[in-house]
Amino acid sequence: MSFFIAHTVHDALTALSDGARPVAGGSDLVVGARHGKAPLPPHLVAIDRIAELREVHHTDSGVIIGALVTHHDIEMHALLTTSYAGLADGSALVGSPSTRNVGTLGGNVMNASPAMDTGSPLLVLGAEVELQSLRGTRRLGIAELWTGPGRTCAEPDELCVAVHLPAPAPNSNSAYLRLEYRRAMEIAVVGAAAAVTLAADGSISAVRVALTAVAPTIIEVVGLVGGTVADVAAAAAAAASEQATPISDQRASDRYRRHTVGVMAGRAVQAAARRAGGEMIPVPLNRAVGIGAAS
Amino acid sequence: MAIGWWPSFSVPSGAYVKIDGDGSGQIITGAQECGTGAVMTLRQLAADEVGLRADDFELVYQDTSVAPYDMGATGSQTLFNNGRAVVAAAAQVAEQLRALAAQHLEANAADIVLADGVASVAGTPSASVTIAELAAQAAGGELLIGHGSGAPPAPPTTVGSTCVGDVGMAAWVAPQFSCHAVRVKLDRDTGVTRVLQVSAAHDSGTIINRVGAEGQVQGAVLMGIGQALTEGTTYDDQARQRNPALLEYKLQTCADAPTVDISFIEIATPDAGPRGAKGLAEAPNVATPAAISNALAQLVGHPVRRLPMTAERVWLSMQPAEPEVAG
Ligand SMILES: Cc1cc2nc3c(=O)[nH]c(=O)nc-3n(C[C@H](O)[C@H](O)[C@H](O)COP(=O)(O)OP(=O)(O)OC[C@H]3O[C@@H](n4cnc5c(N)ncnc54)[C@H](O)[C@@H]3O)c2cc1C
Repeated sequence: MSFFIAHTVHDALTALSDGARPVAGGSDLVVGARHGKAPLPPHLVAIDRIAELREVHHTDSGVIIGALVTHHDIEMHALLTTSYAGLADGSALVGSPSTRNVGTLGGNVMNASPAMDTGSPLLVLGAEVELQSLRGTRRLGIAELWTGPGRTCAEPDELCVAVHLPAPAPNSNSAYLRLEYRRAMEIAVVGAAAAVTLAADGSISAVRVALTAVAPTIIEVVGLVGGTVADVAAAAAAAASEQATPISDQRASDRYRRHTVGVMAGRAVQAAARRAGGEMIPVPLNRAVGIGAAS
Repeated sequence: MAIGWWPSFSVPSGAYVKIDGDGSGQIITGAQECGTGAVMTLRQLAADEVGLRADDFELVYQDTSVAPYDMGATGSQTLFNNGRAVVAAAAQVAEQLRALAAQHLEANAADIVLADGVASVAGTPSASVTIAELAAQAAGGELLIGHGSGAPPAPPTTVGSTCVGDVGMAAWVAPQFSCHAVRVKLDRDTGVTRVLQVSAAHDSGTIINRVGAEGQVQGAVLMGIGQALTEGTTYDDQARQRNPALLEYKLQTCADAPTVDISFIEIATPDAGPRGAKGLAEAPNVATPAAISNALAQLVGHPVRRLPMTAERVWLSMQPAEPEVAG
């Protein structure tokens, strides 16, 4: 058993190449080990003190979110909560205030749970992950990263250093909603994110929808085309229910998941369109509409 | 809306009360504090009896091999039974204090008033001595120690034959009544139900510690919402619990808490406990789930027949001609 605290990316990469596993907030890794999900890896490198991975950079081509940026950072970030609202909708739902303060975006992405709350928003926003090792750096589309529940295509010596989001097109925005049975300390029963771009007449010219907790990984709904908001929302709901391949477990049956993921997808499209049209719907969307709303 | 009822079980219970030489008091009891509020209420009762503040008393929980017997924190009965015992024990100490004060002030023991940390003569408040002084004096002689139990009130006699018989009748000693009204929001597309507001009216007799009593109602209402909507154990085909931890056994959280308006209807009940008090802690569990169930039945047009009324069960009950899910 060894535990090494890295202060630079290079230190961390060296430890990874020597066989250590990274731990960021530890809210998946350590909690999972305590629950007997998987034993704690024998060699750990703590990456949470690498300052450069805690930053959010706004560039001409979009935004670069360091792997150690926490869910709390995201839910409070002026740019992310407005221009990338779907991502902030997801981060703002994670666990409780304390979970959001320790849990990182990199940890959420690399943990690769099909129920992760930032997954479908990142997918519809066209996110890429940046992976680094002593061997070099590569960027890949986030959908390519996830290969199964808890599995990614990253090599053991690769560190996720950042998530890149392209600049949103004009008149576009995003939204994420999840089905939850209570308003804190919850795990998505199902969820859906939508990113839409509006045409001058207010109809939807481009749309992407992705689904949470209805397949071995986060999945994107295929075959959606533009149209009126109502039509696209209805089509997204139907396609989501059809393309989902949910399991039955103690949280929900497959039938109920298949139905409700459609409801979430339809509502996510509607909310993304309202935001794209300039309406301010506060983050998280769950508290503003439908099931989790305040009144 | 729904009404509820909760019994007062009349059973033996005991306590010691003592006041040490420094004027601080102790209640030694086999009763336990596990969130029931006994910690404050028993001290208040003892303090009122001897003219000290609740803060002057420490509650010492002991095994019943050392402390007097109590049946334990079950059935919301600690105040009803152990409260009676604490009052009886404290009354003995009060007698001792009055006798000491009577000597001190050259007055009749029956005329001594114990209040605000002072023993004084009724009608002549200037003739007084502090209870701390009396306690210091007692520490050099006969110690201030009381023990009490008090006779448990007899249950009403059975009239004719009832399906619950004598055992059930015992529960009608000083019963409590409650009425809860809830405002509920249903998301028809998913079956997710949220409770937005609860109004809880309780007849628990005299309320001795209002802050504590309100806390008991708020907590129990939240548990009632959990029972109604999210809390249920499930088992696999080997009879192993599938949700043995709080990740999947879903309690309500602070974020789910509705506004809870509380009113206490303080009316005299024959055979009530100390100072007319009955019990409280679990009582608000009773009406909340029933009220939620009634509200949901109104919204969906029929009762949802299984607890907890999970989102999926509510949704399924609204689907045409589908059986309800098991598990
Ligand atoms: C009470 C509670 C509630 C939760 N609720 C939610 C919820 O509502 N929604 C949700 O999505 N999640 C939830 N989670 C899960 C968890 O908090 C999040 O997934 C969080 O983002 C994980 O981040 P972390 O920094 O704590 O990850 P860690 O536990 O440190 O790491 C997770 C995994 O990713 C790897 N890893 C971490 N950082 C990197 C990196 N930079 N490069 C490569 N690999 C890396 C680790 O080796 C590990 O395998 C909850 C957890 C708890 C304990």
